[in-house]
Amino acid sequence: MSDDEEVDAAQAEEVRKALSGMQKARAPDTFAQDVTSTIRKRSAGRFFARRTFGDRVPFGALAIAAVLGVCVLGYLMWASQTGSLAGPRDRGGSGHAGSGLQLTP
Amino acid sequence: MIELERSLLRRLRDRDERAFRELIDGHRDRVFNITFRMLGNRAEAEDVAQEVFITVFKTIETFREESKFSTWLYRVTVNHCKNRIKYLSRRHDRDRDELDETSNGHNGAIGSPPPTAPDRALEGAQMEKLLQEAIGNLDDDHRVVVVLRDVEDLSIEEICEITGLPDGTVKSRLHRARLALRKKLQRHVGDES
Repeated sequence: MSDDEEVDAAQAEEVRKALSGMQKARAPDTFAQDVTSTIRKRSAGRFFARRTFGDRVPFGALAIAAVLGVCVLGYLMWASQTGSLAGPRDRGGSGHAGSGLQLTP
Repeated sequence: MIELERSLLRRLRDRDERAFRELIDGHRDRVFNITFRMLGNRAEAEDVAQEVFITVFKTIETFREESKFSTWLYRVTVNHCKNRIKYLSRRHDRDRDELDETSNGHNGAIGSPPPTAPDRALEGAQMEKLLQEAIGNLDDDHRVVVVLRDVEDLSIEEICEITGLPDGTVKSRLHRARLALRKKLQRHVGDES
């Protein structure tokens, strides 16, 4: 390295040290709020997703609720006399008038 | 890419507002420092930093996770700063032309560039003020490498990724920028003494 290059390198190093000692500028405290409100304003409120369950869909809770629902349905069907959720029909002859087909000889 | 960053990105793509706030809180000071050092003006820096995050939110789907998220974020920041520098210099030229026309040659001093606004945030730190002014006088290609390397302490590799420049170009620009800064500072100190 020549003398000139050495001087250059030393001067560049001096500047580097001065630059790295500069203070870090901090964003204002309201920065995040300002950004989100600008986005909301520009997108007329359509940018951020609005969800029924808040920010995240609780898939775990929904799965447990679904399993419980199926169990309850299964129990009701198992306990039913007909094996169906509908109650037993009265098939006796004392039906209401006009409730069934009546054949006359 | 760490799992935490992946999950944050997933939430960002789902436009989860809380994730957006987490992202801003994690990066706002660094982005703001870059914009402030690049532009030398707090109000402009704040405006550009806001635009950076808005762009990130709008284009998060285009981030392909091939590089670090921060690298992508700084690339967006640098591009916004360069655009603003161009816009401001055009506006400055236009304003100067208008002033030239209205002054109609009565006062030649009006046409000369106005002195740089004093950096209120860093008042009292004379050296820092001088440095900031000197950075502001560099052309934008040199300004980018100096701010990213010497102020933000990013690696040459990261700067190459951010700017899309080869290693050698970044290093030579950095060296030339430092020497130019040194010259400007010496001139300043010489003028004052």
